[in-house]
Amino acid sequence: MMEIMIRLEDVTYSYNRQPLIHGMDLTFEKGKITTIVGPNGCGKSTVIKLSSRLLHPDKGKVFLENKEIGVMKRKEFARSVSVLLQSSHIPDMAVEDAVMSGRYPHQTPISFSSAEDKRLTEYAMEMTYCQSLRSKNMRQLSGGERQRVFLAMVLAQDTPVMILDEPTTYLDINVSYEIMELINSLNRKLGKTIVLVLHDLNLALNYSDRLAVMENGKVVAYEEASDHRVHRCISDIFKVDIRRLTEKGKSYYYSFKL
Amino acid sequence: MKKKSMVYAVMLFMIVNMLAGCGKKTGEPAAVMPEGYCFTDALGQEVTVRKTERVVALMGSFAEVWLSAGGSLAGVTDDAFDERGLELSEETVSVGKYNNPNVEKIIALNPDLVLLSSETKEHAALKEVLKQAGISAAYFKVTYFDDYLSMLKTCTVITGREELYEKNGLAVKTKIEEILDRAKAEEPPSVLLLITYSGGAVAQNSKTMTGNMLNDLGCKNIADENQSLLKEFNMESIVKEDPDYIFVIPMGNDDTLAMKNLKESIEKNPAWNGLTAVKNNRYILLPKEKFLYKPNEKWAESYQYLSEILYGKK
Amino acid sequence: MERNNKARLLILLSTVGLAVSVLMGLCLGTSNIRPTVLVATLFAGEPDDFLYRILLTVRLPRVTAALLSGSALAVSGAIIQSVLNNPLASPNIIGVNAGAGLFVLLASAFLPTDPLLLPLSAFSGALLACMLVLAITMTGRLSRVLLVLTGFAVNSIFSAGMNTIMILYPDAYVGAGNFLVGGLSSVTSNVLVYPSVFIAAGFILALLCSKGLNILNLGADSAKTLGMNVNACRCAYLAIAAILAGAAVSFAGMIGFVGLLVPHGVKLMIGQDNRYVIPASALTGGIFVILCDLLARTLFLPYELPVGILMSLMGGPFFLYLILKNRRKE
Repeated sequence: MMEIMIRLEDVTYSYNRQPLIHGMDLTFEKGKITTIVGPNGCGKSTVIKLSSRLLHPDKGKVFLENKEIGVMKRKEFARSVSVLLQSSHIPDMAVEDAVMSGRYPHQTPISFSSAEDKRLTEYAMEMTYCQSLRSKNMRQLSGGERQRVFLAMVLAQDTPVMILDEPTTYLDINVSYEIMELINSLNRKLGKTIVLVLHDLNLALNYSDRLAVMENGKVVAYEEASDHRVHRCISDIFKVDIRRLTEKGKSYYYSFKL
Repeated sequence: MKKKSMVYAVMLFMIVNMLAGCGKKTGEPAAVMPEGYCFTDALGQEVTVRKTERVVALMGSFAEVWLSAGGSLAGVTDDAFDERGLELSEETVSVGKYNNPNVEKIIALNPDLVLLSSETKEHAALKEVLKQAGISAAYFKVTYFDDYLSMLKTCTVITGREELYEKNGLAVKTKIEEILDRAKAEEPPSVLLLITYSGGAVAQNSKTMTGNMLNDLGCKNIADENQSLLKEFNMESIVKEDPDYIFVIPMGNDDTLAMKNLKESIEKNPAWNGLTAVKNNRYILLPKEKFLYKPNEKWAESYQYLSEILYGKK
Repeated sequence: MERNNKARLLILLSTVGLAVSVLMGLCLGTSNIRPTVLVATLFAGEPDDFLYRILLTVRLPRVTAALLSGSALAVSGAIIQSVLNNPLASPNIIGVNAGAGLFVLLASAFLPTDPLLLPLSAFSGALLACMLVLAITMTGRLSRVLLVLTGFAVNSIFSAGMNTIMILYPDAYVGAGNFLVGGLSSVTSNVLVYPSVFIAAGFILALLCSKGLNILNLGADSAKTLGMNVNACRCAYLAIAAILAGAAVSFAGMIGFVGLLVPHGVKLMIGQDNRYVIPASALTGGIFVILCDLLARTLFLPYELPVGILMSLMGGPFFLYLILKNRRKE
């Protein structure tokens, strides 16, 4: 039984009178990892921002489990959906404080951190292997370490839905895989609904339940990640070929240029 | 967080204590003479003076007026020493510059009366502090001779030396009136009154001290009509008006710099040398002591000086 | 935890430093008073004693004013630097000085000279100018750049207004002149009563907002995804900063630099955690102004330097140093 977590209904969004997305219908399934891929400028980031209330649709509505997100209270929404953005802004604070700030939607503006907050912060740092970094300043970390901390922040926010915009860009390939494994385990172990935007096709193909391919503001394919229709779509758009590799009974996909 | 609340509590406690301390009244001086002289000063305040043994004057010219009213001074500002060359007793202390008086020094002298200028912002600022310290502060404004007369009157009443009002006030007034009577000309001469400083020169109109003297003597000041000359030196306007007399007062602490500016920028200008006044030797530099600083009891001499220039010795 | 310990140490040291500065400020001056004499005079002095009068009518109000204005401006600067994410911002940016100056001149020119009127007009002017800047910026989603530009525009307009009044009504300058230069030389205690209430309230509010300020430090988008109403919060924090700065300027005149220098220096030492930065700024700000004021009135006795000049002399080189250090970091 497919349960819908987030639904975009007939959403239009323009910027400077240029329509980026027009009349889009899109759903993200609960408990699954959905990845959006597409060439630069296709509108992936816009969809992410519309789904996370950073942007408001000009026309149409966005729903979170049948509640229209436009009318939800800010903190209520923040307790349901957390977002990891491609941010160039590195806060000047200790790792532990940064991760703790993920608890903000669960606190009143003036209160101090509760025992629950501390516990979840610890847990988040554990899951992302950040404990050794806790007293370091964010600005002293490497790219990979920082990304793990950002991941810990959204994890501490403890939301059923996590939206991650290009969490692996600028990271070395081994670190990228670590992050993806982490995200995967968050989904498998904790049942989180995850929406990803990824640049790297290989990661997208191998870590997603469903793939949405976008081009020019439209979703041109939206299937299971192993579905050949979506592979064909990707091949057409990116001019690459996709093959399957079977190793120890598991299928892996990769892209290359013939 | 506990530590911070403590820090804040301590801070607030200190502040509250301080303010509570400030709120206490400083009280009236212990010995009070039964009769007090009450008058209204230039700021519209009612000033009551009882004792006048210790007086502080915050301007050299006021110090001079107080001395000529027969008083003695416990404290003065520097310009009383430097610019006026007053004969002050050994005990008179400096309380700073006239535009930078040190209020602690003033209070330390325990004065019965402080004489301040209502035109100087640094003096105006002391009003509240002196009031809180329980010190009588009287503000004066002296621009014209009549102002001096009125201040002298007040001072002599306080000191009880009415005869000095006669000598240093009324007698001077009579002399001035004589000078003005004799100063009659067929045609009122036109004058330009300039004040120069190291940064340039501007004209003064009849509302200033020297301008008013010239006006009394029957002159027509070109800056009265041409107000722009009050703000900047405009050679064209001056050439157009071509005044009969040009008077110059050098201002500022350094005469030489003011004179330098005069010689270099103004006198070198060929248009300047074409002016009637300059050609006919009626371009006159006026001495500071008579025309920049208040002449006080020597006011008649200043009038005399101008009258002789304008109308010759009679 | 190292940074947090450093922060706590700084707060401890500045508390001690503040107490020492207050003591120095009360004891030193044209007549130096020994601390034992100070205590004796304060608690058992006689109204006739000139020491008592100097202490109560000159030094006590003056040191209190220095403490209040220094800490208020420092905290105000800390908040503004956080909200605008600009370590070189100061209360000036949102129009505090210009608004205060304009209204003081207006009051001086048109209204009777009641000693309490000038501080009141300074305060209202400061608040009005800030509200104007905020209102204009809110029409465009309160972007930081827009805020700075609007502040600059409002500053220019108000400064022009001030100059116009000074030309048309030169007498106004006499009443307001001391205020425009900025200084604590003629502060009396009655002027401090209301501002101290506002400043105390402002401190408490600022402390309560330190968590929100920390969230803003993560970036506007991140703060939004954490459920913060970024616009409303920015507005509220800036309002608190405006109240603090306006109250300080109302009796201290237009002293600059404290709001820029002190919070920036504090942040360089202990980082951006506002839970520590705000109290540390308050304490160091107080110390800074008390000491500058002390130097101003004792360096060239009996002449007094305007406190603003001393702060500029000490602040100018430090400012240059900050700029250079900032540039190398980026």
